[in-house]
Amino acid sequence: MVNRRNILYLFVLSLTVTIVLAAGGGGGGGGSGGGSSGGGDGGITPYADLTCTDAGVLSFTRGAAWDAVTVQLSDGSLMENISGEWKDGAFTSEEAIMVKAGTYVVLDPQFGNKSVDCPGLRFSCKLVKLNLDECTTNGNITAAFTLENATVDDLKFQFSLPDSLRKLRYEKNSFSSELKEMTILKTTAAGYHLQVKNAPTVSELQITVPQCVGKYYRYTTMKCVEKGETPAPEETGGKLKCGGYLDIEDRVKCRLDLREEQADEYENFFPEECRSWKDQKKCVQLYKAVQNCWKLPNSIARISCLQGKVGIINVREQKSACGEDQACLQKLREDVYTLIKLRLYNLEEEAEEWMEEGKLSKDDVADFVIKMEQSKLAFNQAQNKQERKQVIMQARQYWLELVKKVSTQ
Amino acid sequence: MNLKSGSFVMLRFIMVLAIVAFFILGCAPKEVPSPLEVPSEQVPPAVPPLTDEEILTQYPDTLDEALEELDLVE
Repeated sequence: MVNRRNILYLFVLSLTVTIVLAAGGGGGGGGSGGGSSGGGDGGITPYADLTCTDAGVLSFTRGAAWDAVTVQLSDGSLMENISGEWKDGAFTSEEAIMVKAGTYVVLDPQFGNKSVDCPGLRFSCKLVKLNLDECTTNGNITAAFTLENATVDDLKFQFSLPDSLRKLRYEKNSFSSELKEMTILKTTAAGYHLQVKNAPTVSELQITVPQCVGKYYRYTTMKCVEKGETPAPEETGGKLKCGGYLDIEDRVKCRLDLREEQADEYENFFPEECRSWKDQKKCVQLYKAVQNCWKLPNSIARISCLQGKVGIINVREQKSACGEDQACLQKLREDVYTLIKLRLYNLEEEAEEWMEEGKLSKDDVADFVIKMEQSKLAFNQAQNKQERKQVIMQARQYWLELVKKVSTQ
Repeated sequence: MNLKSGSFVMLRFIMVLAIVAFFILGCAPKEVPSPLEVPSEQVPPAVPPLTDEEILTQYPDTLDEALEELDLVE
């Protein structure tokens, strides 16, 4: 009897050990699977996002910047020191670098060679050449321009009207009714002749390449003169930078696209608000004077800096110190107005920081910046305190709408 | 094999422990899902959207100061 019980115990023991070992094996398998998936969860693997676009741009994330980006073509020849920009460990070449379609190999001495297929160059803003030769206006509008490495369908034409903020626009599938009879004829390999019959008198023509806004400043502008008059000089985007676009949307989007090294070109830009100032030089001086404040890390520091630059420390005390001196009170009032507009500008800075952190899209930030700039113009045009307050309250509403986009994305 | 020996008593004791352990392990809920199992979807608790005041507390716009300053000079 005892033996039978013991034999039973031995049987159960062996069964238990078998089952436990089997379960252990299964557990080991699960652990192995977890380890495997965990291995792929690290940061971006170098070159995992290696791409080549039909604009001839090579881009990849590598982690550490690498001075001499070198690529080997399929015929064995080398492209050394490819020009481009490093930002946060990611490299983006200039446009029109990877011209021919084919497989290229990035020769990386640290991470090993990586191959990438390039579709071949289709369109690059870098290669577009656009120049205006003349623009005349006298019942009909005529203009001559040259264009290379793009088609007329890639262009947008804008005409300024004298003594009006309204613009006449013409682009593929969309045009102002005054331009319905506009025709463009090709005259030479790169030459074009534009004509609008029965057109209103225009003061200026600007031709832009919309998909190139913010890239290489591919646009041109010219005053339109009456027939027989000396043609006005052409003003190219390369000279006017972002500030030369006629549309505020284009100016804002262009500025948002600026690369860090282009920040030095700020001197070439014209602050939006200054367009409405009678003394535009004074306005530009003001913006130059506060430029250092934008380099500070947060709103508190920036506002404090702006207050110091404008001379607003404590409005209540300053007002008290003015007493009945009307000139002093007027100066204080104008300084407060200036600070209020700079507070709106500070919100633009905040929005741009979110964009750089990937928390907001460029379009959302561009829309917000345009609204802030328009708020500043509205503030300048406001006739009384109530209207100025309404502008501020509306700006706050725009801010709330923007922040809601940040929190939901 | 002497089933009455002390070593066999020890063996029986281990057997009992093993059986108890087996039942404990076998009956305990499995925390690691099998690779073939699809984990049930976790529904996050509903978070009410921030009110405008809460947004302005978290993301101040300094425009309240602008309104105060405007009130003082006009």
